[in-house]
Amino acid sequence: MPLYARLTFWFVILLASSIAVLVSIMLDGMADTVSHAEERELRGYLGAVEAMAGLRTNTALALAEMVAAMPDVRMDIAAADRERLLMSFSEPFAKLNGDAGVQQFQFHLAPAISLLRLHQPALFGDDLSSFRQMVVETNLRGTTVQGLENGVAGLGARAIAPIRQDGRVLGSVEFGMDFGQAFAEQFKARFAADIAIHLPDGDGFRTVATTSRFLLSDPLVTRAAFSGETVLRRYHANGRPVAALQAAINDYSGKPVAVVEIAMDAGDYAAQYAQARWRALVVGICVLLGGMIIAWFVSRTISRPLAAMTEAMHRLAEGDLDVDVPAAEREDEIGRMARAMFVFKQNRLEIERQKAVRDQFSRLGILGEMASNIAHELNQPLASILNYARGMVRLLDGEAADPAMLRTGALAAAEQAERAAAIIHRIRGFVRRRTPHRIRLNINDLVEESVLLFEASTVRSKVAIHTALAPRVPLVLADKVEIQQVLLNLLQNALDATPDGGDIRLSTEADEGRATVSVSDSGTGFAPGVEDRMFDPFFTTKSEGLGLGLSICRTIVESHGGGFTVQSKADGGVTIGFTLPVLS
Amino acid sequence: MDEKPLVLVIDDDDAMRGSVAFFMASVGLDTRLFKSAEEFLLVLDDLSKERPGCLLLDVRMPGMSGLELQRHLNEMSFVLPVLMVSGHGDIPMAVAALKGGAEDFIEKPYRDQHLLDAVNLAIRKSRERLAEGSERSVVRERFQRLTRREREVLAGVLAGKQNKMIALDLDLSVKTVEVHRHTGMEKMAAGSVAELSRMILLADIPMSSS
Repeated sequence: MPLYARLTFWFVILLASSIAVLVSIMLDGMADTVSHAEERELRGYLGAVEAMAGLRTNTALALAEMVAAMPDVRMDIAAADRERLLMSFSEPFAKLNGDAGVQQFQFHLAPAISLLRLHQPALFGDDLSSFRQMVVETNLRGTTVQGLENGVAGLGARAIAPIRQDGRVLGSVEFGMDFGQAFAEQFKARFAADIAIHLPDGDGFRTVATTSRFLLSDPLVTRAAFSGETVLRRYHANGRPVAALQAAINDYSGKPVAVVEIAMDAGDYAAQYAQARWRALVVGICVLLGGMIIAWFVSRTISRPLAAMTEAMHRLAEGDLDVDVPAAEREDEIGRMARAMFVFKQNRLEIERQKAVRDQFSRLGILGEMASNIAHELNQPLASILNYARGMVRLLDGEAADPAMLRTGALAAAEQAERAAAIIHRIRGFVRRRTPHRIRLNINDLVEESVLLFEASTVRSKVAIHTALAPRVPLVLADKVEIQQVLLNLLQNALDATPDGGDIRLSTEADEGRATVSVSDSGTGFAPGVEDRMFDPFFTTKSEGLGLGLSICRTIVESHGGGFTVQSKADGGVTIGFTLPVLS
Repeated sequence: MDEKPLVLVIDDDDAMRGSVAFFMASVGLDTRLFKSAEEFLLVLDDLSKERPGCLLLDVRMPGMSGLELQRHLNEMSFVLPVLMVSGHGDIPMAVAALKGGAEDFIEKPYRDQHLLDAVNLAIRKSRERLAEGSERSVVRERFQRLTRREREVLAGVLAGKQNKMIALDLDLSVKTVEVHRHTGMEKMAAGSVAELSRMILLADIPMSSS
């Protein structure tokens, strides 16, 4: 796997796991917050239920105390006069029952005998002591008692006040406010939360009031709630999320008397949670995508210059010194690496340059030294000869030329001339030409062989060599090495004259007893004055040339009985050809 | 004084020395030949200091080169003019030779007339230098014979002072100064103060008036 892909991959993995951890922690916290908010709200509703019940018992207490304090009531109770009480209170009760939610209005005789139920006048005289502890307590102690209690008419928010005469408790009066369906509905109207009230009934529970048929009452939960736990539940009802709470509610004595179930629509909370989850998801994906792009980009900025540098390094290793070193302008580690590579390249360039200079100097140096030595060697005898000759002339011009002295001078001059000749002989010994060795040659074969030899040097300048050979050429008698020298020399001159990408044409012809070999370049032709002198020894247009090439060529060709032809071409190039006599 | 000039030739090449000697002889000039700069230096002290002539010096020699010898001769105030000869003289070498006081730089092979002109010119210069040199020694010799007082008085005269001032400076009477001045001028064979001044300048004698 390439470096940039690996970097990107691990960066994305890291990013994704960070996002996953962060989002899950955030969502957990969110869920906690939502659940706390729901619980607080539900507990608030429970408090409201208790407060509403308290308000009702307070109203009942006020009514009971007022009735208990009425002298007529005392008299009637003392007399146990049901009819008078019924007559006095049936009309007020009807009013209270309608407007103030008073459900029960009852007089008792001590200790707990029902004297009159205004809400149920037909039923009286029954003993309540077995199940109405509030009544028993009021009559026993002579104090008011208030709170929730079950009675014949069901659960109520009740208050009982004693009726005294001469310090003796004659009986009591009781008001009971509704704590059932009407209460539930009033609660719902007030708080927009559903409520149900469950009473224990044998082994199970009986629902005495409910505002919603969707309220679930699980008997196990209700039992747990009745034993003092506050149970919170969440579920869906009618397609909506619901949060519900069940808790026991106590009677006047602090003992659990019923279970209140409160359920509220948790849609808002659920919607908030869902929205938060969505948002986290979207943000997470965006961050991940952004992270991937950044990781890709960063990885590429690291890997791309590395790749480019590797490529450049390869090319440097292959000897291509024209290659540019990438990323050298960067300030970072990659830039440092690039600069190190740049130094490496510069060193290579410097080495190459020095080598080129050295080669050139050694070539020129040897020739220069040789020329200088030859010049000095020959100068000495020449200068001596001149001195003798001039001296003799002056002697002869003078009045008395001494023959003996003239002889000395002439001998010395001759001696020096011999010395010069000896020097030249020695030099020629160095550069003595090999003895010519002439054989029968097919000039076409020679041309093809020379082109093969020469092509190595044309590759770099991308100059093409085209050959056009005459189909049949007669044989010539020639020294193969010498003629090849001539041909290679002409080809080299043509290559020097031809710009990169140009071409050189080589052709052979045979006519009238002569074979001709021609070389055409595609250069710019002769500079003025060059054509007349091009075969002169030591004439050259090249900065490093000795100017002997064409001179030697001409010597060779003429020694074979041939000659040179030179033509300027219309397109600017030059055609140089030489002819050799064919064998008859 | 009017001796026959002598051309001193220093060249490592035997043929060159011989041919130069022959050529000089053809025009009536005497030569003395030396194989190397070292050989020349060995006999330098024995050479006549009075004889006019010049030095033909080859630049390129094994051992001490022509340029080195020239430098050496300059240090010891060699009086004869030096002509540098080179088989392959180049411009830097010519410049060095001329800067070092060479009379001329001649490149081999040379035209005979060119060489001859240069040699003759050098010989003429040598004669002038020798003449100057002999007058100088005469003046110096005369100066040696002056007494201390005479020198002091003449120094004052050359500084353009009146006899009175010289007397004051030297704590002498004017009369005494006049006597010293008269004998001093006579010993120096100077007809006037101007002539005395020229002599002193030529002989390069340091004079201070106090």
